Amino acid sequence: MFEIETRNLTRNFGRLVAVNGLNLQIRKGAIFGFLGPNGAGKSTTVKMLTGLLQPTAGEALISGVSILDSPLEVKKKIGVLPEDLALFDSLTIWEHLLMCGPIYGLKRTETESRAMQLLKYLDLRDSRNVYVDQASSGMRKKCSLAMALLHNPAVLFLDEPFEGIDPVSSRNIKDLLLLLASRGATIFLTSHILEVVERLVESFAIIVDGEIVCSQTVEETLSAGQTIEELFLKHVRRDEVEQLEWIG
Amino acid sequence: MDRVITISRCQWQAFWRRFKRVGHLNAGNQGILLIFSILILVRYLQTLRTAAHDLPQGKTRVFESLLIAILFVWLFPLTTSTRNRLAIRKLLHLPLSLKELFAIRLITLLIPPYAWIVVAGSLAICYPLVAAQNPIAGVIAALLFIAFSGFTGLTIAQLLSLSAWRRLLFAALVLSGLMIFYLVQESGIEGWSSLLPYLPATMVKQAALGPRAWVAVGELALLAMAAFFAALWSFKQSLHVAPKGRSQKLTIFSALRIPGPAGALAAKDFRCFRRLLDPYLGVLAAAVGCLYLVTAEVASPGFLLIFLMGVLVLNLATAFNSFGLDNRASMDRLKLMPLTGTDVLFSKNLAFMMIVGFQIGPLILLGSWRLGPLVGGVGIIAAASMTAMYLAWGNWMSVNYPVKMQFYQFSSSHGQVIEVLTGIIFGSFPGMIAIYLLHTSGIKTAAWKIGLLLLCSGVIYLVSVRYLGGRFAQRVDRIVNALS
Repeated sequence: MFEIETRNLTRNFGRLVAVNGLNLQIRKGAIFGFLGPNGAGKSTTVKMLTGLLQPTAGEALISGVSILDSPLEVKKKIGVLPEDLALFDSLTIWEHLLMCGPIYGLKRTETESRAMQLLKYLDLRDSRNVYVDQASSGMRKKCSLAMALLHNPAVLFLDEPFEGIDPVSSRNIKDLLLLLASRGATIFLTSHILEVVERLVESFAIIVDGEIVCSQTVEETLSAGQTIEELFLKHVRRDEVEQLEWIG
Repeated sequence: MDRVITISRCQWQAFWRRFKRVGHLNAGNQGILLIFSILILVRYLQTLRTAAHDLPQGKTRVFESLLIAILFVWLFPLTTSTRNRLAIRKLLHLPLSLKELFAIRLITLLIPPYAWIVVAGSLAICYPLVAAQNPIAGVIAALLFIAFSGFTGLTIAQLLSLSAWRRLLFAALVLSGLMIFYLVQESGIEGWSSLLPYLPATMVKQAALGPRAWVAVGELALLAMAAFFAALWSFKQSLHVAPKGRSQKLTIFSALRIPGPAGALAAKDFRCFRRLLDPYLGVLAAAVGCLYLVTAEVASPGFLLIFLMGVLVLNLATAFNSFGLDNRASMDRLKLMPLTGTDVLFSKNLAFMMIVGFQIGPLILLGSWRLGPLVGGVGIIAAASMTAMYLAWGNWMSVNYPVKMQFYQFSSSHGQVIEVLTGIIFGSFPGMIAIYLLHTSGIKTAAWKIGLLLLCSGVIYLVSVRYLGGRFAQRVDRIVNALS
């Protein structure tokens, strides 16, 4: 049984087909990279897999449970770092974590202890009393990540986790993700930082205009003498652009 | 100037694009609002004619009432125009001077059609002045009065975005209330007469009728100039609101936590609701009720219930539009969490109960002290019953007619007139029945009948939260769109 599985997952927005018949199979304990240019359908896929968006057609299973049939059961198992971070402006970073724990069934003492450890790990302890609407984008992202990790989910969905994060925290997050995967958690991440993806993920897929154009392991890529970046640029065509001669 | 015109044109396009998105007059009862506006306009024109008839004869009561109405009309729409101010903040990175930004702010305020109505209605006050003894001085004074009202409204709206000023304004409001109470207690309504010459409306009257017309005009010009500079100064302050940085340490409110998922979410919503200005009107109403209970020679149980009803009515925005302070990101978080629609609605309701509980608690305690524990008990049952009914109706409205609300602003029904009025009657119904029962039967007979009422209200509430919780899950995307 695969930990994340999609069968012909499709999402239309009017006439636009954002995701077209997506089929993915990700094993338990894997770190999977989902790559693609802007507007390719990455975030739409994450939204469908996490219950934020209803698919137009197809099916998505997390740990064998359908997100369409049992959304609450699935949501208890997953942790999500969404594209828009989904934070409440009127709460501090600490209050976000305190709110999250009981919702996932954690006791207050357990919530506080885990929250403090996560804040230390993500270098957020000193800024825990800052309102998120006044926090930097990196702090906001780390807050959302801490919320995703707090209940120790079996499956983690991370939409652009390294964007806007300082190098030290970025390194900590990478180490944390590797540790999580080694302990059996499945991680589905999207990122534009291909060097990081190459060092972190086990397998990846490239989506362009809502369709998977390439899906393989990093090992296969490297043994073919290629890098993920080369493969990405090969599949993502770039139209000829005019030189901006007036610049500079 | 070109830059101001270009940006104002974009603001105009953005406003009408948002307006067109609604699509038809039925949405948000806009048709009914239009009818109400026309009715008010007709009534206003009739009153203007009366004022025009009275003024040359030296009768100024109607005219002064109209001026006060104009002052208030200019105060309130401006306090709900946060979107404009937010849009201005997004222009800060452009090479625009403070004066240009302020000009854009002023032009933007005049874009919505209701602003045109307010301007036209205000200018119409010049009509009765044409027949006054000093028409030119009167008209100039009226125009200065309108400018004074507009800039004062703008200043207040801008100061409300600054936390220190918000506290100061609230304290000023409470102090003025106490001063009025003291004056009325000490020397009756006549105690006011010494203040009258210093009121701007009186100055317009003096300019139109008095012997020292141009002195009054000069005084009004000074006031208008002061209001203009206050508006400009507060605009500058509001553009660079210093971030609070850190939250206050444990307050009595943040220490209060209800266990479980609903409690965790309710704490969040409680925090949000406290950042809306409406509940503070509820606090004022409760304070007046407490003052009544302490000072009245013979306190009446009926008045206690009326104050309870008043507190609930002033808090209705948080019950009738409980998603109004959320945004797309926070709604996404709710969707990501393992929560049912019923859980989400219940947590919102819990936050409302906490807000209202803090306000009516002292009323009930003082009621028990002055009127006996039985009346206090009846007050608790009636308040619980009304809360349940308000929430039952509010859940329906929150799910079906969500409207964006802004922190540190008064809420606005944005056209849900019929639904809001029906909701007030529906929610206050147990209170009205309780007053009737207290009036017609003894306290003991009334008590158990009011208890039955609570049972019925409770059942209605449970059905509402259960059914509308399911409906919330179906309509969540529409709610998000309405709040965006």
